[in-house]
Amino acid sequence: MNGHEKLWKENPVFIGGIGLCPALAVTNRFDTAWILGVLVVLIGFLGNLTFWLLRRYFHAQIEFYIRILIIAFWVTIMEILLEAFLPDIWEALGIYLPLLAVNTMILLSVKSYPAGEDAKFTEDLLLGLGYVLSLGFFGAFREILGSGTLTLISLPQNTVQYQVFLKGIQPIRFLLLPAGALITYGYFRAGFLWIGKRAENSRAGE
Amino acid sequence: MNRFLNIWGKLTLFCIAVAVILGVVHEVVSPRIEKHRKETLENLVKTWKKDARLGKDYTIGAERFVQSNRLVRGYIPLRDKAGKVVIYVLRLMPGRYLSTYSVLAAYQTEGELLGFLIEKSLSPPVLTASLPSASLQQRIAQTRGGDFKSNEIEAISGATFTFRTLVEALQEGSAFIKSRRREQ
Repeated sequence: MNGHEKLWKENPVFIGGIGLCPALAVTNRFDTAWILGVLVVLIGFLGNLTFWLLRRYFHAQIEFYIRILIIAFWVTIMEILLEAFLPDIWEALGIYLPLLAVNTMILLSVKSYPAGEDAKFTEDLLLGLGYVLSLGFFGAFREILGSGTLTLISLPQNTVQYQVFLKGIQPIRFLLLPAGALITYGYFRAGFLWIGKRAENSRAGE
Repeated sequence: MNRFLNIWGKLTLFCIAVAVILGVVHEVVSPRIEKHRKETLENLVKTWKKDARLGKDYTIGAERFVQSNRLVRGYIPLRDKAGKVVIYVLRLMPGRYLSTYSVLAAYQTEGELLGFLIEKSLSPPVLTASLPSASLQQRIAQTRGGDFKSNEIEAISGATFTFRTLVEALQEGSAFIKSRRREQ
């Protein structure tokens, strides 16, 4: 399977519907959306690397539990580091940070490799990239149209934020609400499916 | 049996190693976390006492979590030099509609509101932009606690339901302090 298919046809958010809970909840700002996506990829990568290094010491029967433990370990490390160095982001992500353990397991580890298989880093990376791009796009769309700004990152001393709308233009605040997230997601999903179907039809016509 | 012990032993050792590493990482970064917490509280205290310094004027007590209240998530007592609790800082979570913005509000022990801070990071930028300005904060504080009506605040701000949830949370905070006082 090539990169395009992994990113588009198997898009975890808009096609697979994986990790929807945080995807709907944290995408009212661009910075929380892309950081959550990057954390999933980072934790998945570190988790797989740790497991790959340690697997020879553990019996195959307990591999799954070791995987869970390793992912939970990296999630906790990230949570502690975020609280210390990016407290604004830590507060904004809230309960969705511990939930990363579940998302990462579903999105990357368990899905990609049955126990005993070697790590497929490229596949993971593409899936993760699909997740980051989807969340980033979703977050940017909602923040720009919903509040007229684009927040790149919130640091303790400084927030890098751009005013996108001109003065006098009212943003569509509804998009920032949970219902707005769900409706936006519905349109995006329909769009993804429609484009996929159209591409399939045009290939069949050739 | 040996196989079982082998698996069990390795798993136990692994869990211990993970716990130790987590403990060490937390120890290393905890001063930074504590510093941030102190700075946030100091910013709150400065909303009514410009030259206040935590550690000098007030000492910070341990945060207690509240589970039985819809809007009050926890509180931190601030003590004066004599060790008496003089202020309660409440962590409020307004947001019937917008579930993710948090407010730190300081009350005197009788439930009178001294000041509050909205943790901006939790709310989308458009709401942050429309959240209370310093003058509105002053006007809310001047009403001395839970005596204001939410409609009045709507009139002051001319803004959206965000204010209604904010005012509701501030009033609930005041009621929470008063009920604690009655229980004591």
